[in-house]
Amino acid sequence: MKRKAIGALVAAAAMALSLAACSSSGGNSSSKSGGISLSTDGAGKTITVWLQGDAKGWQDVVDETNQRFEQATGAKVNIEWQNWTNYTTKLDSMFSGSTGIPDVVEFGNTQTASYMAAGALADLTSLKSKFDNSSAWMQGLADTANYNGKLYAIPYYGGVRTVIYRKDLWSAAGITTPPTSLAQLYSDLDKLKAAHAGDSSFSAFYMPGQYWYAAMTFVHDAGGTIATEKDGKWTAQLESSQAQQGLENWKKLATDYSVGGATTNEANQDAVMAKGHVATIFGSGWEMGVVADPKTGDPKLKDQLATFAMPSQTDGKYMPSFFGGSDLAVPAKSSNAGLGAEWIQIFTDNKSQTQLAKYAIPNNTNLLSAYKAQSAANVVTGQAAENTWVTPTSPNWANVESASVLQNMLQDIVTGKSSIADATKAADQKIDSTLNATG
Amino acid sequence: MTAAGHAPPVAQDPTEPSSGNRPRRRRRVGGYRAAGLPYLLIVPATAIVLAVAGWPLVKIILLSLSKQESGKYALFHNRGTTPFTGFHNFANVLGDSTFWTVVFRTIVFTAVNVGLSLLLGIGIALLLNRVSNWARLLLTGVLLFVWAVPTTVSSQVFYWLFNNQFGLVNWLLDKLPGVNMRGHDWFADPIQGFGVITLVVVWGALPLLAISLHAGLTQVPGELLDAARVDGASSWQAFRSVTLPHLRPLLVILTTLSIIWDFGVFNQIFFMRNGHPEPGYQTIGVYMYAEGVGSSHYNLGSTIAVLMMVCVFAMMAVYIRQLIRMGDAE
Amino acid sequence: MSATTLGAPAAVTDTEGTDTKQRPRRARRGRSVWGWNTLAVALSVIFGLPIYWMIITAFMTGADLSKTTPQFVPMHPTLRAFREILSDPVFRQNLLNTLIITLSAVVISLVVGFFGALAIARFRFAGRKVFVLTILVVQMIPLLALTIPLSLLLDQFHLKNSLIGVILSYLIFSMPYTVWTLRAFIAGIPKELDEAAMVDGCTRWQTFYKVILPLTGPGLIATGVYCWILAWNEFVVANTLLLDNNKQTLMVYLLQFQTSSTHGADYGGMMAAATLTSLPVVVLFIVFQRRISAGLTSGAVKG
Repeated sequence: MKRKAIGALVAAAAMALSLAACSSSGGNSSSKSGGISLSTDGAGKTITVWLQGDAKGWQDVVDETNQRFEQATGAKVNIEWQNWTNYTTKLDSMFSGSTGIPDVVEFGNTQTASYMAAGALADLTSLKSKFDNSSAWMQGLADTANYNGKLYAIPYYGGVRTVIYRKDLWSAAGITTPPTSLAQLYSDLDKLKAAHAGDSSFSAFYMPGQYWYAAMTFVHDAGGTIATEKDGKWTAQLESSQAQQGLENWKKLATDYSVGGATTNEANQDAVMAKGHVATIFGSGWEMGVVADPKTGDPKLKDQLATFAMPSQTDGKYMPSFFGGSDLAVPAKSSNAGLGAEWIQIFTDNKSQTQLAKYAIPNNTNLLSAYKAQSAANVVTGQAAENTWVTPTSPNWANVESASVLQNMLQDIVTGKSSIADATKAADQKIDSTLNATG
Repeated sequence: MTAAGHAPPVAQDPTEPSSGNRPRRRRRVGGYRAAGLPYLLIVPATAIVLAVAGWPLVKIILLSLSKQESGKYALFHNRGTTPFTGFHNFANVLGDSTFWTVVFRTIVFTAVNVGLSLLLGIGIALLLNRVSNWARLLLTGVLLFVWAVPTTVSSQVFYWLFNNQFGLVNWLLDKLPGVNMRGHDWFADPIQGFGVITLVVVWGALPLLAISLHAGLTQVPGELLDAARVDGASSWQAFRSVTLPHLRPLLVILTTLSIIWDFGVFNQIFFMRNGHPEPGYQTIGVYMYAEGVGSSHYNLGSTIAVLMMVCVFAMMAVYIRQLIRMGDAE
Repeated sequence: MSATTLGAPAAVTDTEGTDTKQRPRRARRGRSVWGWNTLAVALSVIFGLPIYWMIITAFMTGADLSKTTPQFVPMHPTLRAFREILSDPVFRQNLLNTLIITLSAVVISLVVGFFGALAIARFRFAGRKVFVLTILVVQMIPLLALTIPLSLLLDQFHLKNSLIGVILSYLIFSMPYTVWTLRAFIAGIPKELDEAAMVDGCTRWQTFYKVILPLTGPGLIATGVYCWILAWNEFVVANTLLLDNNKQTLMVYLLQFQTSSTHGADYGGMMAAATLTSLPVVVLFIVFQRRISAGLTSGAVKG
């Protein structure tokens, strides 16, 4: 069985290699469209905005933006809610067509590169100064909004994942201070596990088996990385001993302390936590709001949730965080590009971002103090945001995501289908061929 | 033909009293006086077939013969039009062991599902033939309900039944002595996962098979069966020598159809695997979707789709021959 | 004999009728019938269980659903899930879209299919064989395989993100099926009837309309119901072609319970949506229940 699985993975990698061999060389230059300008002439028009469901956590900011936008332009706003799962498939389908093109699109900050490279987005370079705080944008977001020296997207918000835990459950298990090392985290989780030995669906730490942002955080903590670039050629690094050590640490969490998530991703982890059998998760600060949401979660948990930074395998240190987040862009084919840019302008201006800072890391450093002042939890995430890691900056990175390379590797590891060595080897081959594909 | 319900139109047939009064040239239906009419009748159907099936078929072949770019530029700017490369994509797909792994998996999956569905279908059909009226109505009623459930829905229901923490199945199995199924994840191992998927597929396929096979059974002349029994044949012998030959044409068609359906199973796998089936769960349809649509490799996806259609057409040759023969018999 | 069984679905219905009359004679034979009856009841329970489970889950509270011991009857029945789903404007719009798409595909298929079926059932003409073969081949094309070219081609006509595009796509499977199945029903109508009508002064069109159409009624219903199911259940093409939430179908709506953070792990909601999605088909089955088995054995195609 195992050998067969490895065979399949190797075959998959070989397939990817053969694809690379036949693809064209030479990148296509982007941006045929010239710059666009902001427009407030929208009477009788409706713009369409693709936003991820995460923003339902700050619906007030969205609503107010829409109101201000409608007042300023006379145009209406139609928000189309999206899901992260299979999102790039949907983006590709939309960009390849001429119908159903929205005027504003949200991108995960790891996804923008391939769309900027393919010339799918309107050039916003000349408008940069019109966006508030544009000189102080968070580096982790600003980097993903530029391509070949031009600006194609506007930073929207950032997110850093920390440990979110149930204060009541942790203290009931006799733990009073947050762990300061990974070893201590494990021993705390042992205590939690022992305290709930009777509950077979209890997760001391719920860690879905496809949660690659989490696993890669462990990889970076152990000194590993996903891939490195030299002279334009990418080399995947998951087979390195450091990366394997990190995956070993992560696997322990996912197999020893987590129940029920081995074959799923993190999309519904907040809802799972709200069901009451989970003491700890790894997520963005605003996910606490989702856990305690009266509609999708359990409002009784509102005052029971707190955060701490994920402790490192090195005593007294914390793991570097993945600086996640989103950018907003205007599709090159948008029929109301100026209005779309205007909506982004309002949604990311100082007023909106100050409001947004209640929930997520704002798009600029000027407001970071406002964010930290909101709550103790934000202090933790604010600190975590100071030491971060990023995904490979290749325009082909989105293809690694849409092919679920990391997710499949992690699931194989957690379910015991492959050893860490075999799984990383297969994933590295696939990542190499995907990142180095040209055309 | 005269099923209940449409006797009245026949009785009211206005031609009845007058027929035969007039001497007439016998009009043959389809005679040359109506030469243009059949063509007029098939114009709409032909137009639709050409537009919605013919054109996409041409397009998919063109796509499969054009170059697969790895970036998205051509896709976003030229509607996916790329230079012609001949059979390069076919060589790539066919030369890739992943493709053959997928094909092998699909064949095994299809064989297991078709075998199970047909065996159980015949079993239930025979059962329906033996039970009391009320029991037959009950079982047929339940089967009709099952048939009405969309595959997407049944997949979600089974996904929930087999949920590792709160699912009914794990709880029930756990009650068995010596079995510990607490928190068992059915989808960790694709073989078990496919077991669950097979259950959904068979569950959804049985109503059609059982009900139509039962309808076929009722056509087996009772006298023949009685005669066989008088001659001392066992039930099994009677089944083999009388019932089965009568069911054969129906079985051929149902088998062919089941093969085609199960070969192309998609929804059940896609929904059970949360919209992104892992490589171990990819049958040919899912593989084609993941490669072609999921990763936006339209040319490679088209190549796989063309190969998939070739397989289907090869399998249905038998079926079409049978249908054509029937069509000619009329 | 057997060929006619397959060719003319109505023949099956026919014997179903007589069969019911014969039944008691056979069923009374032997006491073993009670054994078989018990088996039938057991099977009904097994087959019905998933449906039962779907329905009761929809009425259960989230807390009850995350108990380790499942409840076979909801302890605290609630309409929360149904209320939430029915008050979701996207769900209502998606339900309407699914109805529009399905109904249009069925009606167009029946009208066009009826004429096509007439042609091949009543006329011999050059090219008939080609037409029949084409219909049969198209009927067998897995729609899934055409997702990519359909998406590209429909977009050229601005029909991609639109219900019309989906309706057109669904004609690929529903129309050939209708032609082929109705052909069998029409072929079962004695030609003498139309001849007599024409002798009586009916034009050919009047014959179609006044004689053949009414006699094909049961066939239209059986075929229509079957097409309805196929179109109602289709997921891949709808998911690929329709981008806007307000244009999507129920099948696409259901997927969010598997993929979104807000609906994830909400099994009550998932089962409520699933129940509501099945309901229109179940109702159709109950209404036309008697006609359905007739359509089954005919040229039955994809499921």
